Amino acid sequence: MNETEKLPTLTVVVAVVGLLWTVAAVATLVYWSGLTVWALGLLAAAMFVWTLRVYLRPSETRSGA
Amino acid sequence: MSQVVERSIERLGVLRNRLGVNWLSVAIFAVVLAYADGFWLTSVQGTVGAIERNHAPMSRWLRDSTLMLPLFFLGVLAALLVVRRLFGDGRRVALWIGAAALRITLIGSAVGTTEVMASSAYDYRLQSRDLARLESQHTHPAVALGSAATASQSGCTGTCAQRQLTLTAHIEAVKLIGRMLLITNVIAVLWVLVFRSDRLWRRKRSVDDVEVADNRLAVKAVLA
Repeated sequence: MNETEKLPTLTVVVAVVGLLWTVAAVATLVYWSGLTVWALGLLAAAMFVWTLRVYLRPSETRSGA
Repeated sequence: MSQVVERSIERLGVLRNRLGVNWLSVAIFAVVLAYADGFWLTSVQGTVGAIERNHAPMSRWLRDSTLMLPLFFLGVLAALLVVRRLFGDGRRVALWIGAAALRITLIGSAVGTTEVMASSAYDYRLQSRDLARLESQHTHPAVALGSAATASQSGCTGTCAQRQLTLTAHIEAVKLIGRMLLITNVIAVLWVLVFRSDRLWRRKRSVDDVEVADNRLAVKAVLA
């Protein structure tokens, strides 16, 4: 087995382990604090981003159209 | 199915090359921050946490810190990528390193504080449940020690006052630990930067580098 065959396998294994590990960490945080807090936090973040996108959008009069 | 896997592997390889960070440096930062912040998490649990979770502190520190490691890893990775995006190619090394230190500290502290807040929320839930159970087992109302002021102000007595005191203790603990995390992370990041500051990002391979590498391979082949 040469190195070009080994490298992708190792990368994939590390990526899969990392993904599962991350999911476990996030699941632990969600379990600790309760799903409601995270749902409200995500909702607040989504609303904040939406507000920024709407109000920071260049208007037609300002763009000189 | 196999095509999907193959495509995912290809994308993974492209992504890994495109990110261009030094993975060892990211891992070192993540390990140092995770275990340093894990110490404060264990301290909070031991001080104001629920009795059910009060196991041996050493194993608790190791378990919780190890569990949260990938979040710190992603945080450090995000910090380095943001710095590279903001400041372009690294001509001004001091600016790059300073910005990286600041970003890593801030993002690491945010992850650590989130971890402590979530853990405190879990502790508070357990403690509230214990207080409710204690109240149901006793016929007379439980009296919260030192809660006279709280009771007179809000009309909240007994278990309610105890819950308020517990919540206040958690909030104060999170505030204090938030500051401690920031200080700890500044020190930890600066220490790691002393050893790894020149190896945060992977250097782009120039044509000369490729030629040198090819020549080395050729020399090795001849010698073998």
